[in-house]
Amino acid sequence: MTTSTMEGGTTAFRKLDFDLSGRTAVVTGGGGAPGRGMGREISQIFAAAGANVVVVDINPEAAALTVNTIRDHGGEAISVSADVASSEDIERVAAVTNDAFGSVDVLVNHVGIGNNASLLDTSEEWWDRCQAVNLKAPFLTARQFLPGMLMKGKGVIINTVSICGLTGGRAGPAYTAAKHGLIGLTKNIAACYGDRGIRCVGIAPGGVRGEGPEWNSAEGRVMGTDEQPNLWPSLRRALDLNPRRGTPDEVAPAVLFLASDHASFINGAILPIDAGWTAV
Amino acid sequence: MNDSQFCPNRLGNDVILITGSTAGLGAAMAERFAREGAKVVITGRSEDRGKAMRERLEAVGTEALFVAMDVSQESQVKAAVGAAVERFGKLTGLVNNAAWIQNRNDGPLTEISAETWRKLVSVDLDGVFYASKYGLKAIAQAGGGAVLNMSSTGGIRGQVSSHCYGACKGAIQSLTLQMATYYSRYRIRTNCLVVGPFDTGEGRLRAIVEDPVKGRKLRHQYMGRVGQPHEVASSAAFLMSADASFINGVMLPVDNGGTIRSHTAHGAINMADVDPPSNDWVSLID
Repeated sequence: MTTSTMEGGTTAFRKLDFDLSGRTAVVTGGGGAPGRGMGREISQIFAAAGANVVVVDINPEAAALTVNTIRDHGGEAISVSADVASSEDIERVAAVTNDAFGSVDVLVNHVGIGNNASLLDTSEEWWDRCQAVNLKAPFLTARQFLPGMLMKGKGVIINTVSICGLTGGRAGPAYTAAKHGLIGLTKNIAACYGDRGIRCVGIAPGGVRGEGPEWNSAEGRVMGTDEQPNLWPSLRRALDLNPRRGTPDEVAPAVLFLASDHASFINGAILPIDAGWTAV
Repeated sequence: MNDSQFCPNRLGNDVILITGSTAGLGAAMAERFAREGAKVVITGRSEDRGKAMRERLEAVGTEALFVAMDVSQESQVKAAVGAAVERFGKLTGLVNNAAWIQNRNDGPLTEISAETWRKLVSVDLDGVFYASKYGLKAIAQAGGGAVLNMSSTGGIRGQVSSHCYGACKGAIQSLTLQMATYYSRYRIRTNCLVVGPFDTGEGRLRAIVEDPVKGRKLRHQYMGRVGQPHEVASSAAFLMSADASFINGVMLPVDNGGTIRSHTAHGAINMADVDPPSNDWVSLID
């Protein structure tokens, strides 16, 4: 066994040697119970790296769970309950953040909702809500926090685009279309603001166990869990190649890397975190 | 960021062979890996540069081995992998970095001699095949590890010259997918960095950057600047480490957004475009 194989990490609160001290990070969809959800892991790893973390979640109890864990480990964090699809809520997040920590250095648009309904089973209401949470929200947050980043001449925006943003047929049409759109938004921000010190990148997780509380929320049906092992034949094939699912704490280090100065020449990139699912 | 910021001991259990690591990006990666605790096997054709590099790494406090090797010669590559395993007992990582850029003779395609084409392919693509052929076996025997292939923005975007180099770099991306798919069963992750222009101190790039017209074009494409070697090395260290344990078969651009801008009004600008052969327009019909 070496440090670099596909075995993966299991530590709930790892401290890596990436320095984000003095920086403020906003993570949408950052709430969750211990050991559950990528947004929670991202929030925790940022705090462990020294960042002040603003955990945004529509569920205040979930946000508080993450914040409490961070504080228990000596980190700095606050929670804000918000519907990311509401511009009024995003303005409130910005105001609370500014009061607590000042301007934002890192924005992670992680929250998402989705289901596996076919196009003929997709309601107009669900389509609109899916676009609002998955695509409009990152636009709203970027519009809110970019000016502060531009004033500093430095900032990072990380969008969770999912492998569904790269491929078709693995999720419902509303989710797939929204995530494809989010890749477009990611590249547009990267291209338009890159020469002013802003980096905007996407992560594309796939096959990760417990892909956030959002999949189990009242809005989205449970998707891609062990309870539905026959859901995606392509995932089964990928698991044949690498017979294990990923864990949220294997996603968080990649987000920390991208948020840090270690990734200073990476802009507009989409990084799959899927053990090779999309390579097959 | 300064290039002294690294993650101590992140690669502490690793033995990593880097092809073409006596200078340039390969040397930057070697130093980075060493600073993160890896034992590093340096390879290259120049004995003098290789020994100097080995001493540089040993000064960092790690063990290093230099093996003189021409990556286009299968027997030499095989021997180098064997020497690495003999010295350190295992191999856990391979970086396919060695490449030959021969811009003045490489393209456009109709202008490339068969001899130049063959020589370029022998280094830029055959070398990846040989090092992977022997490296993958050694890594599998160690219980798994990681491979990193070095590609270029020239491998995914059209250029007015360097057509053979670009084709090899494109092929390396395809090879990455094949390797990632098959060798994951041996717990080997294979990924690829797609790098833009980096200032490795090479005279040609410096001259381009300092040229008022060419430099402006290049900086526009890559959003204001060319990269520094440590910016590739930090990405390489991440992908080789357990921090990337669920990342496999990925092409990660390290190009400051250069490849997403190719559709701008200015058009794509790659290294070969700002420094083409004698004419960037060749009449095909005399």
